[in-house]
Amino acid sequence: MAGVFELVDEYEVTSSLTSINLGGGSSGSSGLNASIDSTYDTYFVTGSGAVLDGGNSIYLRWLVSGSEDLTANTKQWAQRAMYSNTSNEYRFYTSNYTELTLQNGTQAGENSAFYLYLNCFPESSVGSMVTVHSAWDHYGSPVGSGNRAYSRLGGAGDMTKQSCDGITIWSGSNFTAGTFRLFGLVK
Amino acid sequence: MATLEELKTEATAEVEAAKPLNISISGAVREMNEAEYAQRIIDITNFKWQDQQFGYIQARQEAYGSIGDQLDMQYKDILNDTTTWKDHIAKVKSDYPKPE
Repeated sequence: MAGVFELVDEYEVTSSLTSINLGGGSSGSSGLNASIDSTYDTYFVTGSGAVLDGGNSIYLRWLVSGSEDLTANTKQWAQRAMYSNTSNEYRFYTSNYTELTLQNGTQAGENSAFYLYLNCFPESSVGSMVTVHSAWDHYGSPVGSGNRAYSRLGGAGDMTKQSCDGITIWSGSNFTAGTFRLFGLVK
Repeated sequence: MATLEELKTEATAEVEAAKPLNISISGAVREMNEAEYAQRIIDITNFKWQDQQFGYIQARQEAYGSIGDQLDMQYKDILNDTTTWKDHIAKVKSDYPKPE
């Protein structure tokens, strides 16, 4: 039915993993062999209950034909990071990935959630874009002092006009929990 | 200010401490191979480098405080013939210097 989201790919962390691929065909983490293609209009990603075993950030990188796009400085991103106990800051870099969260902690109960819209991924004549909205908690060490909640709003764009068939969500640590889903908006 | 090589050493130590890092391809979980570990070290090094080079802008934005608070400082400085706002800005710039 047009206008509804259909589940395309899904991965639930049951053993420690440093990255989760959604889409990307046979490179996907789930074994569903799903790809981001022109079947759907916009794609939507949810990540919930994401827990890391180290004080690291969570990042997103584009997949091109199932492989990480490692081309230097092709992704520009701008986000506003809001902290519950202080003020806020802008994060803006050019790299080959974008941040989703910054310095997650490892205290019991700390976890992250994020929601992403993936636009123009299958189109080879334009650069693809990601809309980012994320939130996460800190309950102190190793990266903060005291309780605070964080939220991010912003986005990132691929300066290379190319077709992308998936994303990888990764960290410098292992995820020990989390559910990651890719939905497609039916045309 | 750390050099790129020093940041790579830091990133390498972090990745070594985090091992094993695992990935799942098509439902099969395995540890990263050497090339994948090497890429992860490059990624973390690059992030540290960018944060060092441009992080001062973000740190200053937070430390400056809101425009409203700064205007309040300036207003009180005019009333009281003080230099609170100027001193505050100078301290933020000093605390978060621009990399050479």
